[in-house]
Amino acid sequence: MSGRLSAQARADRIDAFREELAQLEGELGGVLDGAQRQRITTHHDALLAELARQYDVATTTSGRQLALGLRVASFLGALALCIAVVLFVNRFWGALGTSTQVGLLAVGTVLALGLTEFAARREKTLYFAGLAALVAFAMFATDVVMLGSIYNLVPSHQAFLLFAVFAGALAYGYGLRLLLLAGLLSGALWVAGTLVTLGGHYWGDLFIQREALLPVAVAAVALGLVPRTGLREGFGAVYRMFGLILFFWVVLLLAGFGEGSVLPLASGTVEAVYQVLGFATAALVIWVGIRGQWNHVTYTGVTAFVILLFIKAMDWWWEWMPHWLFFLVLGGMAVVVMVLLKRVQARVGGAR
Amino acid sequence: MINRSVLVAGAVLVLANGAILVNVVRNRAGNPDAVVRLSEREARAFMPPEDQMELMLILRLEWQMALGPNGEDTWFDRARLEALGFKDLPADSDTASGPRWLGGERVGYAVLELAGPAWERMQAVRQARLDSAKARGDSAAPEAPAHRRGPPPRAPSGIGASRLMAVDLGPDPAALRAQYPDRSRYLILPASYRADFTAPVRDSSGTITAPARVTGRISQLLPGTLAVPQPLRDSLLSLGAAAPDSTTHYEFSLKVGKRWEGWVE
Repeated sequence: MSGRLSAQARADRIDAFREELAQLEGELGGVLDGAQRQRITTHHDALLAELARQYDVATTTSGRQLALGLRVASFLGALALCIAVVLFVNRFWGALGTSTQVGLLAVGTVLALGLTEFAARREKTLYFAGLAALVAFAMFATDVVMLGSIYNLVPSHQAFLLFAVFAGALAYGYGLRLLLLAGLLSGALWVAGTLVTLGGHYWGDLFIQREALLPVAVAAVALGLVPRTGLREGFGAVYRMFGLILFFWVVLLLAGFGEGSVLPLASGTVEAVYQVLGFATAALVIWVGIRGQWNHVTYTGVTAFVILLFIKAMDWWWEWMPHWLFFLVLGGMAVVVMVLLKRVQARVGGAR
Repeated sequence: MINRSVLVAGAVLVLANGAILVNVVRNRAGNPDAVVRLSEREARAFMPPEDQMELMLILRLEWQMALGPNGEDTWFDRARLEALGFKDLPADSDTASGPRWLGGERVGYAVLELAGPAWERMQAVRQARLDSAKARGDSAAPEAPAHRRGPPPRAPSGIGASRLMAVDLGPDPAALRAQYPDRSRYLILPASYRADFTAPVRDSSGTITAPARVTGRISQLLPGTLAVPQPLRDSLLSLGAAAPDSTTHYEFSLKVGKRWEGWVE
């Protein structure tokens, strides 16, 4: 078993097998003799016990529900603690001397890092370690930002590189996908800021020259598509989804509003270029998702495709068409997309 | 054994804090590039009373664009933009275009003059316009052509307005310092700037009353704010300097170091 997610998937399959067998036997009568049944049950019980011991997986329906609840609670708790850190710093900072401010920020981050390691050693599911790691990241980011504020430093995109390395180290060290996401986002902002700066502009323009985000988006998708050894379990999906969402966010914005593009074209032409690129890429992504059996990739492609269709529909018809008819046409387009997808699904062996 | 990632993250923390502090020390070491006495007119403190016990006190630098040498609205014209490397700027005769994107923000160094000739010239122009308006019997006094940065003024322009005037901008701070050697009057600070295209103004009949114009604009000083350290913070707050309707007069020294970063003393 390569990791906790695979272990949980195996436990889920065993549970599904047992349910299906019970259903089958209700419909057909006994399908396994006593010895076979005993052999399978013993093997599965031993396997579940081993998976629970080694990976702390949930082996029952209620256990799975609790695990989901724990994940949600861990995320919300981390979010609340991060906000608490920032608000605390904002709230009580003025009354402290500069050296106390600097010391507290660094010590707070070290304590959160220590807590992450402590929690990771005591709990295989890493709910508490994930929470502590996110707090450490928030403390570190606050540390860097506040130091900049205390010493009136010129804002720099290099801070995003620090954030990316910090979050990436914790993500890869403990297999924390939320930290990987934070690291990828920080890394994307750093690369984009660097590209904008190399182009002779202020790095803050990366939020206007959004094309600077595309190289990282493409790289993230490529990293998520290429099978690699040593990649943490579940990280491939994070790379793919982050890259796709970032890519389509940029493309959809430029398909709707061409202002600010680095392409030396009129804004209308820029919009047309990105609309074509968006449609072509969305179709490609749907195909790749189906081929690779990555549902999340397919769904992202479909969503981007439909949004692009709506953007084009707005361009073509909103001005002159009665609004009730416009939305009727949109509904009709959605039905056409559904029919097309059903055909694809049937062709690759899915439900008819 | 401790997870290596914690050690890497810890190393990043030490590296980041170390690099920032070393840069601060390098910036502040030796003789500062400039030491200028600013008042509440140039650096406003504002903090809601309920927050004054806890928050950091931040002063926002306020400044105005100086007029052009012949009384134009700004010295930052097409020629200056082209000298700074802007190419393919739209022509002034362009009557078809509306305001549009001219290629984004760039970073340079702004020269800010405190209560010098640029300020006196602006005062004179303002007074002349005021007198002219009075002579015509206009009730509303004309506003100053230069713009203000930061929060809205607490007094009308001219009375209590900032005397800090942006008079120049360039890519090389050392060259600017050689050009403006008075270190007690001229601040050189990082700033972002851009080119603006103003579409022609037409009257109701469609006749152009003001042609299209390309001008430069200093968008913001980087960072444009100053954190006030203890115990100066408490002194300013006890004087009521941060109250919304404050009339407290205060002065402080703004020093700018070797890395063109400022600090309050």
